[in-house]
Amino acid sequence: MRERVGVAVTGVVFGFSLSRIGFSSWDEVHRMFTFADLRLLFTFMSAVVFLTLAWIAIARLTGATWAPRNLHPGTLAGGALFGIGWALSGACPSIAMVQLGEGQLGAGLTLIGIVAGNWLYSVVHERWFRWSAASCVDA
Amino acid sequence: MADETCPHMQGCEMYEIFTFSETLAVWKTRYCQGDFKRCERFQRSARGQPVPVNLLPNGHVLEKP
Amino acid sequence: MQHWPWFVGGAALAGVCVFHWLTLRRMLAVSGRFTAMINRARFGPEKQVEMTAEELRAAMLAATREAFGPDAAPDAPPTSTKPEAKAGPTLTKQQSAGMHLLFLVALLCGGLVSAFLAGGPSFSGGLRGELFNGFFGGKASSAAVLLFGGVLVGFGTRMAAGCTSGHGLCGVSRFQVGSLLATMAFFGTGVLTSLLLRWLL
Repeated sequence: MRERVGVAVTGVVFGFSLSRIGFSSWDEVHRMFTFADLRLLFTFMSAVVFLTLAWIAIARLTGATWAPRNLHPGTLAGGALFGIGWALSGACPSIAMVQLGEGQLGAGLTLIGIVAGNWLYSVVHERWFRWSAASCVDA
Repeated sequence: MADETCPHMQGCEMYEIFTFSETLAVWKTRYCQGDFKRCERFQRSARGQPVPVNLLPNGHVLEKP
Repeated sequence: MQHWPWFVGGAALAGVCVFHWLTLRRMLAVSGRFTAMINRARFGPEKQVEMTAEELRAAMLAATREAFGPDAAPDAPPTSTKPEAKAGPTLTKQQSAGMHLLFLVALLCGGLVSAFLAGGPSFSGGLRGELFNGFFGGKASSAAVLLFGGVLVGFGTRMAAGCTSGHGLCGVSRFQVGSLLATMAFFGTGVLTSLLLRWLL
């Protein structure tokens, strides 16, 4: 039950925030990437700063530690491809859902693409890459 | 002359468990730092398949005692 | 819709990640949820086993003796002397596909609420935005761009094992090298692609 509440509340607040910040607007994201408007960039950077402080505080208070994750072989190439996709579709996986919720139905196509792309990678990895597959979802 | 070590060691939950306790080092000697190709976990991971967290290198599945 | 000033947005995003960790003891990460669901579809459900540190120790000792003989695992204390670590590793459950779906639907609801409070939601085919529609014009071309862009996002995030939330927010703030590189990579190509779009279209 606690798990469901945590997941649901996080999802709704995260989605709401992304929408209000403007990450679900293709135009705003484009402006960020072309440095025409730095607001989104500052939002992201300040979030990272706040988080850095938060993790330090949490580590002090709870004694929690996080093991360093090793460099995953597909990191650079995967990141590069993702960036191109983000610039074209205006979305990352979470944003596509938010766009859909806002009534931007084109995001449905983006989502179909995301599912297909993820599946495609899974097959390609099995056939050719075969390096250690780490998921970004912590166990 | 030691074999290569398993390339999928990092991020392997079992490897972490073996490292935590001296008692379990024998698994590392036999599989991770030895004949890793016989490790059931490595074989699945190398095929890109998800590896059950409670799967041991010898294929045995860890159950609650 | 009036968009939030940067520090408000920053605080909100950080707050969400912290809340996620406090309630679920997991880092906020979205592409991994898609990966987990695709894996479920391809390979079927994983049998789940949860064990406390004690149970895991006992199970491992038994399994070690079974595999290597009764002398292989004498009862020895854990190697670490740190009090928190003495207990040892545990086996925690992976999240279910239902949880992943719940999260994604919740994201959608977040967008819905936001649009609703702004007087909407209004439904439009394609995406809203002068620039987007200016670049890609008609239904077919914008549909193709979204589909293709989506495929790159899905493929790339799984290949990099993370996206903007997993790597960009949670990874970078914990100084994970891989996340720093991934974030630089996707911002880099994001910028290049966008500049290219302006130049070509």
